[in-house]
Amino acid sequence: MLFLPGALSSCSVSFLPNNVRKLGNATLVVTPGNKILQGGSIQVKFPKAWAYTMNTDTVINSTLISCQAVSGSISSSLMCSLDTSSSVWTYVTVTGLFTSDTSTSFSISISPVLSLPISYNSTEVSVTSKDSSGNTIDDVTSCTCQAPNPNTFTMTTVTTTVVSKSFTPVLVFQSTDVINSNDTMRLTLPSDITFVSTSLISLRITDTVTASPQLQIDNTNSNTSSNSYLIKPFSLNGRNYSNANVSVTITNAVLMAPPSTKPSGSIVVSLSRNGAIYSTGTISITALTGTMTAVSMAADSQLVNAATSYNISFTTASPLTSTGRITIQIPSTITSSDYAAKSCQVSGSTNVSSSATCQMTSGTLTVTNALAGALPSSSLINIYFDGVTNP
Amino acid sequence: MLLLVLMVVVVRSELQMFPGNYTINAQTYYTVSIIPLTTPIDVTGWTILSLPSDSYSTSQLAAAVCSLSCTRTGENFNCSNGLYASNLLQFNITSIVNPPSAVSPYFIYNIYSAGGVST
Repeated sequence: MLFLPGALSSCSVSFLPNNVRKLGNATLVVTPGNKILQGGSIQVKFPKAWAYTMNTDTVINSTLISCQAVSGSISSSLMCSLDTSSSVWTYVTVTGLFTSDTSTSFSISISPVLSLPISYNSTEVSVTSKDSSGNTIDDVTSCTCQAPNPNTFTMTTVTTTVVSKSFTPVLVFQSTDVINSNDTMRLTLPSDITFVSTSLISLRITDTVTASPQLQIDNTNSNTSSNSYLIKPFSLNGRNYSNANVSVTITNAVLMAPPSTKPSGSIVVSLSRNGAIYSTGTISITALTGTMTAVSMAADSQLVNAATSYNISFTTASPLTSTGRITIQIPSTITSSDYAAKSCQVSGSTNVSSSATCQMTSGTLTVTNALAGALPSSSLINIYFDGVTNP
Repeated sequence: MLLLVLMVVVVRSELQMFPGNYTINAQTYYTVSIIPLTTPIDVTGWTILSLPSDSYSTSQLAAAVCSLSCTRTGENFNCSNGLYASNLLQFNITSIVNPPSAVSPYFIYNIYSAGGVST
């Protein structure tokens, strides 16, 4: 006649760090269903598949394994032993817990334990309580697992460029995790940064064994409305996965820099496995002010102290929106104390406006309504204004 | 020279015990049947059934009672053989609490004739 074991009242497990597949602490909170007798033990079962799917050998480091009491009426002198003989499970038996019969909740941590992979069964960790002779008290009871957070890429570069100009950045970041050949990378661009061309885009993953993945843009799955692009799969020169701590470099993607109205933005890079994101990071793009060319100035009168008009011309570096403004810093030796614009004319490229207005404030001339429409880059602009007095 | 020793054990009866609930720590009852195989049970004798103390704690046996005329001494139940039918000694132990872990306990019993001889 064999009596049947019971079940734990509850069990939960959380990982610290709680990022995908990181070695750290696994903390279990256990509430017995049946009283655990003095001298008893618990056995924690971890699925080996969690390690296999992430290309590592073991879930638990058998050399360094240790157990710590966290809370509850349990001893602080715990001992851990590991059983890896099963092809499916890794068992950790924790002894020395109970110096008296225990019915109340307790918590222990086991380390170093590999945290959850991105794809997991949330009830695959289980706990069994046993008496001092090894007879089961509460049989394998599944523990609820705290869902892991994605890992974070380490971004090594911040790319800068000129507003509203196409540019070809080198996007570099470090992945602490291995990258599988079937992983999918997604680049999500902010609405004001766009791909100009992806036909030549290339990606390289470097590690100790040189691998040069090929790149495919998945046009069928690219979500252009959200400016999101998929890159899949990785061809790792015949390998199934890269080493950990690899550098990922994306080159030859032609992007349009953000406009002057919002000169910075971030590209979100995410790596997915089995449909779930397990690593993510952002690359900051900061667009710098462009430099005008062919800037020149001429005065109607060259005489000192003469009230006159100036003609300033220049060629823009970046496009301007129709609501763009032009400001001109007037040196203090050119006075404008009684400034009243009689003339404020803008000419040059198409889309200039005939109804520009000029306003002088503290030595700065601001020309508004200068454009009837968006002005492309490399446009010639002439501004003719009066109301100033020569030095 | 080959020395051959034969040991013959005569089993005169067997015990069957069926808990009403097999779950550990459950308060339940046991139906105990002692089936004579070779020698009829002496109805004027008595039976001592021992519940293993390494499987049961004192508190789990504290309220246990036997349906026959029994006396308890610790984990031993000393029961009269007087009530049985069809050559089958059967009684219940009630108000017993199952062991605290999933063990397979060994129960020991002895059947005594009126003269005090164990059968």
